[in-house]
Amino acid sequence: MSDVSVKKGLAKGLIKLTVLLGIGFIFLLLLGKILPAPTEDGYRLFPVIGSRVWVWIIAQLHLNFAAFVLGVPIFAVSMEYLSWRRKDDRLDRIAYDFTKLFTLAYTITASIGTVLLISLPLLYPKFIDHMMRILGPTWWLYIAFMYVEVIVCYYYYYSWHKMKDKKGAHVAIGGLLNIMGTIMLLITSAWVGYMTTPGGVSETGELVNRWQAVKTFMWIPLSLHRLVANVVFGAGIAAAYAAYRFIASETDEDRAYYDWMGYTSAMISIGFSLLLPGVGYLLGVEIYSFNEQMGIQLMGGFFAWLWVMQAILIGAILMFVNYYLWISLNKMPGGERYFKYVKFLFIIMLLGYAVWLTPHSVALSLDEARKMGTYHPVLGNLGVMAAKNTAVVITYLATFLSFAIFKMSNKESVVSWVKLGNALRGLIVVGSSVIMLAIGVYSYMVTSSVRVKVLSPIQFGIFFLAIIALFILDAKMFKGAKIIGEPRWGKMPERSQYALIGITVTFTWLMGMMGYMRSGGRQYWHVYGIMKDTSVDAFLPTHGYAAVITSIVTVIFYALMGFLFYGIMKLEKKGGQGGAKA
Amino acid sequence: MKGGAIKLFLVVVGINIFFAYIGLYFLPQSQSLPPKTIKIEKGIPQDELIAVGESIIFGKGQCMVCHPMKPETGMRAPAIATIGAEMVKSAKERNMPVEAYVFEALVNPSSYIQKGFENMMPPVHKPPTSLTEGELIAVSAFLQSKGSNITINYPDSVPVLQEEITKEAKKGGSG
Amino acid sequence: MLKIYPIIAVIGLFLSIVAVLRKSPFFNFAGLLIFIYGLLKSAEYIMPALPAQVILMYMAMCVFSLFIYFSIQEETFKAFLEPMRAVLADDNKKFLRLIIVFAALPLFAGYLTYVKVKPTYNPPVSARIVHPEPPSQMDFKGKTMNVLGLENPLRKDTANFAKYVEEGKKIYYQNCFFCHGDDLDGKGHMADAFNPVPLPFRGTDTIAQLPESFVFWRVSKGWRGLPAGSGPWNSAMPSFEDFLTEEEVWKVIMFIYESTGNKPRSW
Repeated sequence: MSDVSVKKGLAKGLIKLTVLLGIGFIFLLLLGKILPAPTEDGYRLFPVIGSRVWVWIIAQLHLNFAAFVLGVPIFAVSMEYLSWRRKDDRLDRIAYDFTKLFTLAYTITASIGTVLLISLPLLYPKFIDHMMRILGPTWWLYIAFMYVEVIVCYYYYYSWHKMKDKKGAHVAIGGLLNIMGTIMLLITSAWVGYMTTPGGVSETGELVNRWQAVKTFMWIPLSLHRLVANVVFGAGIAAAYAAYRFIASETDEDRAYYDWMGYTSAMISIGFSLLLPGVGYLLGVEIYSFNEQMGIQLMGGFFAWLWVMQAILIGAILMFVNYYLWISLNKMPGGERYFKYVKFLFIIMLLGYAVWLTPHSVALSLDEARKMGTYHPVLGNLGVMAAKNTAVVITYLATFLSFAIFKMSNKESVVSWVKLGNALRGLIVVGSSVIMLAIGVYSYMVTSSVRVKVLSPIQFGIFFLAIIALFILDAKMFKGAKIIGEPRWGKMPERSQYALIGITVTFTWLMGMMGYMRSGGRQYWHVYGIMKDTSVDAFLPTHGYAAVITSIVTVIFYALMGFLFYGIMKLEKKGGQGGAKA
Repeated sequence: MKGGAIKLFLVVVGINIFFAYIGLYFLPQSQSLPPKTIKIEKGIPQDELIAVGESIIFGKGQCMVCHPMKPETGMRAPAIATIGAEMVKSAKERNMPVEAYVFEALVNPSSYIQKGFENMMPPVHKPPTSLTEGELIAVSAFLQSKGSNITINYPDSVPVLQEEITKEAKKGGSG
Repeated sequence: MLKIYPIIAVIGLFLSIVAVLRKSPFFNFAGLLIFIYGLLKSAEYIMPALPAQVILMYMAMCVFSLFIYFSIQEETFKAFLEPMRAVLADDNKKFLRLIIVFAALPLFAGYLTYVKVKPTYNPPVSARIVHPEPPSQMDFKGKTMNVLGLENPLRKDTANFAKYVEEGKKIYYQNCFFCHGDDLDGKGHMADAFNPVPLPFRGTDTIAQLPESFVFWRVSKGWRGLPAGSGPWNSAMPSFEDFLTEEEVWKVIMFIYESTGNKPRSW
């Protein structure tokens, strides 16, 4: 891209945004006049599928894309920073590829946002009135930041090659982009936080203190949770993109590059996902302290079975990750030495997965019910939190070991204390597993509050200590190690790429489901305890219904993503840029 | 490689169909309906009032979220099965009429916490639970039926209830 | 009864070992699945059988995970696919192919259809509460009693304890023994005629879990006293208030606790 295109690109971005906003407001005004007046209690009905499903799909799609355009810049910039410091062109290229992805995704995000902007006030006029009355100014702030964000983002993208020699400044612009993104995330989280755990209003819904209405119980934990999940998700999408390009590429050079990109993104994704249980825990604590009833309802009431579903999904994600890492051993010179450990890791993963998806109470036939009652005397024990937490930390540890094995498979330690180091490593792994198991068994014997507030954090703490210790140990042991051979990037069977796709799709689905739970936690309220939902959709649908909608949203999302990927490839071919030659 | 994109998309669709299948055929299917307001007539027979109270305990009131039916170890809140007797005892200790104590426990629960429990119950006449006066009286009558004589009825007990609600409102204003 | 599932497990294990020796991952895969299935099913010999739903879930997980496992290494994966490829493509496997297409697959489809349309006589599942909440008050032959906190008046008379138990024994054999059995194990002469079967008093999960007041209520009121959730229509327990006096009921209760070595729950 030449110099002119920076200005041109900026203008394009601003015009796009303004046009979309304009369309939104015009449609809002026009349709508001044309459509019949809302019903007495303040609703309009969307034809055929109903308002709820429509808004559900659009909002979730918007959220998915927003997660993507907020999550990807975080590590695109990190990559650029690394490439600048380490003078590694490969990293710079990956960062540029990411930037291309999210810059294009902005348009889709904004378009879906416009649809949402038109839909919500038209379908739920009374509710939106209330929201505007309470949090109206934040909305105008949001639009202002949207403009700033678009300017920064487009400038960041279009000035990439122009500022090649001023990398420091360019990275700083990227940093600014992420700050803008985080502010936007905070604003939107405040809205959702207010809906779920309202504050700053009187019992009848009159505004008392606007800052209190923004700073609700859920605000910061939800923002943190979303921020981390966005990185995981963004990296996951980047991995899926790499997988797609890997499968579609025609040269070995391209394959090598996209293999490496897929690997890097997937590892970032999984690495950050380690933080999610912790942030999720924080979010749970805040929900409980806002209202015990809502907390219990979410964790053990109507939504209890969706946590089994979550276990199935996360188990599948971890299985895919391990599979990918195990296959990757094939491309490492010297990797074959480690296949013998894979067997054990596999058995541990299998057992952990089995424990994880065992439900507490099971659907029974009459015959079975007669013999054992609702809870199976043995399986019932595997269905409770004590067992699940233990299974989670141990499968996570196994996953980390798979990663560690992959990392060291093409190296041979040259330090004098190799034997001691190996023994130490074994000790850490076995020791931490035994302690985690012991805590798991012990948590059967204590009350739930001790289990939740003391033992679970200790269990996760030990897990983190173990992996940090292993990480440091490995770094010391393989400092200046003899390298058997460079990884043969690109020498991967195609099925490994499907594992990457599987990770990302499963994660997207999980995100959709958790979003539904977060929203469903309000039950028959628009604003919990303040404004009742009196529409026909005030009930919570069956889990099957929710699962189908989540699947539909996910498929639509990936169809749009497919177009985006396709568009980028077209762009590269036309401009002769990107690809292996950039 | 040609057709890679289509194959990939089929994989995506396949995974999603699989998850939808699990959701449809593996998880229990039930809906959670918003509660209906129950109309309570003046001079309703006691056994009907108690039956209404019981349905609120299990339904609209969501009491069972925290309160177990039978006493069990590690329970979050007092068990319902013996609660009538417990309330008579506590009311005697605090030297107040049983009716007032029962109503206070519902609309102003933080004013007196049973030993061994934490202060976590929301006042149930306020949102999100928002029980009406009639419903509160039905619940109270049901609670009394668990181990003590039933002295609460509708509408004779309304003034006592209203007094407790005003007390709660005053407390809320000052703090 | 022939214990078939352990045999299935052993066959599976054997198949898997042979497959390992002959380096055939596909049969190893099949053998392992058969082994795991047999193992899960044989669990019923040492504990209540695993629910079918859970076994299905575990098997689905195993198929998914084992398939993943056998596709890690290129050579293993090739060898894994080899039998399938051979059946589909090799000339000398033509006969096998014909059998699969024209016999095995149609038979399998037929079997699935058969299972699907075969009428079953299982009533729909309804979780039955075996020990429901008793009412707070009950009416015994016109006398109002508080069930909650009701105590056995005869227990206070410790001097005559043995005598009461002895009398309770007589009452038991005249009234209860026909269903609840000579050994108080719920296996009386009539027991097999009922569904659900009469409760045993031995063991730690019936009367040992209950206060005497509860047992008094159940004996006096029988099936009539059960709430809807416990399916009174499923119980054959008579209302013994029609046949026994209050004191007789307490005596027989003392007898069943005493002779099974159980203590009534006192909290």
